[in-house]
Amino acid sequence: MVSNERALADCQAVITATAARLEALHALLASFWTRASEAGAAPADNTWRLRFATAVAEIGANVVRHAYPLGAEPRRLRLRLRAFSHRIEARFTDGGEPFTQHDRLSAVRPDRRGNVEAPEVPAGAPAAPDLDGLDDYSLLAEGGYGLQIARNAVDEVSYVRTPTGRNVWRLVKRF
Amino acid sequence: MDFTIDHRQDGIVVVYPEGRLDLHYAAELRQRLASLVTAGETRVVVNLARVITVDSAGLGALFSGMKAARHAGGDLRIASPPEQALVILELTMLRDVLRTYPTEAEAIDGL
Repeated sequence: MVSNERALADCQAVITATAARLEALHALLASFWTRASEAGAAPADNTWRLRFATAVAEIGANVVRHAYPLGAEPRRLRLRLRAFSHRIEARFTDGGEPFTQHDRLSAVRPDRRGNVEAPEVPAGAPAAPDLDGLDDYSLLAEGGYGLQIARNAVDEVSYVRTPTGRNVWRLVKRF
Repeated sequence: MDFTIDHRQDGIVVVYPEGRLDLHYAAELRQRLASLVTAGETRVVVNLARVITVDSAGLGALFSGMKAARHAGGDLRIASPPEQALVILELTMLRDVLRTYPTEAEAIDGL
């Protein structure tokens, strides 16, 4: 999973997501697009970029929501955005609680290095199949709805819990 | 989150949230919309001209408001969505969930 390919644009930040907004995440995206444009990397198409940005924002929100339950301050996460010749990647790393909302995660066993890796979320599914049956839509974000949106926006969404207690989310969008 | 609310003569309420409609402000928006409907303001336009981005939590708040308005015999429509809001709506792959209109006037017309 570690790539030796040289990135054409590479931006990262340690973000403290407090009660304030995830502005640093959006600021990093803005810097990344500027760097990527300067390097001639990543499509210039705004809709394409907004899909990636939407996925990054959803996973970022997911990290804040799940890795650091209410009251656990500061909530630090590292976000790295990289552009390669035929894909862009986002990588979130945090040291908080493991993500367990993925309903298939509980069925996954650690590999021999102790990594727990969630199977890939399939793309092309509605974010909330039973929308009419819900009374409280604020629960949608808790139920993997944002995760499905992220998955529909990019080509890969993966999650790994490392044996050293880190959560790593990786997003890949190819072109 | 900052909101402006315009109570029009024709009984339609237009809500103008500002900034990022995300997990941090979704609950507040949801409560604002629920309060309006409870108070009998069931024809609601949410004008997103001053909104930069919307995430799944923000969408959830808008869906809640729409459902409450419709249950009360009214409706909730979105006006002037930023491009990212259209992108995320499309990504939900849910058809006909929230009606969006390019302008406030178009959203109001027929509400």
